[in-house]
Amino acid sequence: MAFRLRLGTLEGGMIGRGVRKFSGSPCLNLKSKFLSSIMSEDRLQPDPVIEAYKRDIDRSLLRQNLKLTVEERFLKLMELQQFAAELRQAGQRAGQ
Amino acid sequence: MTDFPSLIRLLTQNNVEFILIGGAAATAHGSTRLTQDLDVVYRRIPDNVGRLAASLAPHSPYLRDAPPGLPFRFDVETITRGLNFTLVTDLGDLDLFGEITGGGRYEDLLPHTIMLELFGTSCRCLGLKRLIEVKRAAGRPRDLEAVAELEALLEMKERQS
Repeated sequence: MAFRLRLGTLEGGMIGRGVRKFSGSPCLNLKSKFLSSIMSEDRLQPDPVIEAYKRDIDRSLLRQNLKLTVEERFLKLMELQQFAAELRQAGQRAGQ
Repeated sequence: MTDFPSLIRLLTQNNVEFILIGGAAATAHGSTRLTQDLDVVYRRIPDNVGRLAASLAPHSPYLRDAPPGLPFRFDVETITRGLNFTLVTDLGDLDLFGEITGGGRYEDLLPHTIMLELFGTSCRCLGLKRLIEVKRAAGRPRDLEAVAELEALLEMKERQS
């Protein structure tokens, strides 16, 4: 994580853009080039903002979801939609 | 409520060429986030546009959030003249994209898809890594948390494999 955050900082925030070239000291430029060279092209470039959001992701919920089949995930989503709709209706009734 | 099984079956049984993207694709990959609509990229070739229009015609497609009574017809001509459509149907909300930011058209996304077997049919879904890239490219602040979750999922899957 620390490595990825550092790399993201070196190369700048890049949501939806290409990697912004770092134009600081030659030493840091070399470091940046080195880090880029060891990153696989298949890997996503880390973004510091997204890394910050990632810290708060509840991975236990994700693990539970990954145990389900794709079909079960959709059925669960529809149950959640139903529940949200019922909550909205209850809220409206309470506000009347 | 969007009837995901019926919408997916409707499109596949009518041989519509499409790719699941957005929140529904995220759900398929394991996301826990609530999404209200089905987002798909459809192939913009005449035959497919015809199949798309014909498959939705019996389900009262109409522009979402538009005032009622507009002379809107979701037919081949409308689809050909337009590109992306946010629709409400009697099976739920359906967003149709001819092209998406950072992802391009159906043909561009095709190499980055996986096949899903669900609800007695099979359909294409954008792969997790490409889905993240597309959401990043969209650059919408409201997507940041969703992208973070998808990246966490990708890391978990990479660790498993």
